[in-house]
Amino acid sequence: MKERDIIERLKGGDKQALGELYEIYISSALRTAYLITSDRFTAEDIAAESFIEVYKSIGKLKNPEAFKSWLYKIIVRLSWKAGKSASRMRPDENIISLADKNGKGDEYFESERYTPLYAAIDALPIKLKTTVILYWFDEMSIKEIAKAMGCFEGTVKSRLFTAKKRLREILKEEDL
Amino acid sequence: MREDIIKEALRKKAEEIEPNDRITYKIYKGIEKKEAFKMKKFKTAACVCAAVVVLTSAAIGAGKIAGTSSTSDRRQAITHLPSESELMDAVGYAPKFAEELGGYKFISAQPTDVNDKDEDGNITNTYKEISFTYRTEDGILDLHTHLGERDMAGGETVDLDGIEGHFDSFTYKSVPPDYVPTAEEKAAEEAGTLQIGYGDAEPAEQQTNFMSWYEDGITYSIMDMGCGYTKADMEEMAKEIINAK
Repeated sequence: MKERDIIERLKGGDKQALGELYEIYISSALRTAYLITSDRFTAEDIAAESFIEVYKSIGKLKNPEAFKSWLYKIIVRLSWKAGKSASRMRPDENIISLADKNGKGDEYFESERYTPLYAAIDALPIKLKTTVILYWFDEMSIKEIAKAMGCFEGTVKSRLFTAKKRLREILKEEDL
Repeated sequence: MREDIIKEALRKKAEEIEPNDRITYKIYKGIEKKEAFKMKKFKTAACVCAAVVVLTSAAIGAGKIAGTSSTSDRRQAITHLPSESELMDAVGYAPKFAEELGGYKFISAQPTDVNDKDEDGNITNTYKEISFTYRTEDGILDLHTHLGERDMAGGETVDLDGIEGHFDSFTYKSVPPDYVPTAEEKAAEEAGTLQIGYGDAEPAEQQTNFMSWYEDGITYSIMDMGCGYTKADMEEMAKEIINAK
């Protein structure tokens, strides 16, 4: 069944449709929240809250074709909100970068090869980092990212340009 | 710039996390609608979980799970009627239970740590469960709960006030470690009407009944071992739990 039909069913009160949307989006939604927040339990809470909000607010979604951007807008907003409160408790992200340079941070990552690059992505300012994740991990278009982040398409392009510039230096340093 | 490297770094990191039953449970609790949100994912194999300290079940594979092992510490048993927040603290979810089940009083709630394992014995998933035990004269009456949906295929399907229940019954025979089952017993094991447990000094048999159902993100299973309840009794007990507040 087409996604549009599933969304129309949910809007019409067919509650089974929520489970079908969950199966389509939960993996990417959860992992996106995890990449933005870097905390698995926070990511689980965000994924759950996102689908609860979908269920409660689906009536506000006028265009079913825009569901993906709408869902990601919720995920991004909740992740940023969680990030603000978590940052008070989390160690400085640079500590992880420094630990990696000293060869002590490997346990945080599955693959040593990508450790410095991921640490560099993780250390980007939150809006740059989110843009990188939505563009390269979720493979969203510039237009979809703009909608999800509530900004102009030009802003997304500018953020991608800045992020690439910073990451390029890391890639060169690490010979990736 | 090699963008595929960025994609790969993000993919590797993202693979550290998988959807799980904690998320579905939180959604259930958040929307509080029984009929919403039925899913097929995250089913695990059903296992017979008796009130024992350490239990290892044989392979009853569903998906990649080849077996499960569980451990519980009796010092962690909750010997009063637990509140929702106590259950959340103990196992991360709050199943329904009743102060009395089939006329028997609640004794304790026992949290258990469970490991799913693959065919090589590697732990693939770790989670907590909780069972509620009721005092009986000469048998075991347990309400076992599992966060998520378990495969309840088999047995007889029954209607539990609009919820699909599954009733199953078999004979549990405890035998010494060196016991050799007869051809008749092997056939009964194949047919699912007999389960043999090795380790007891003297052979003993007990009739065991199960009534299982899935509700609001939790699989419930009432186990009667030796109490002699009928299917109708088990249905009534299940409804007591389903209608518990």
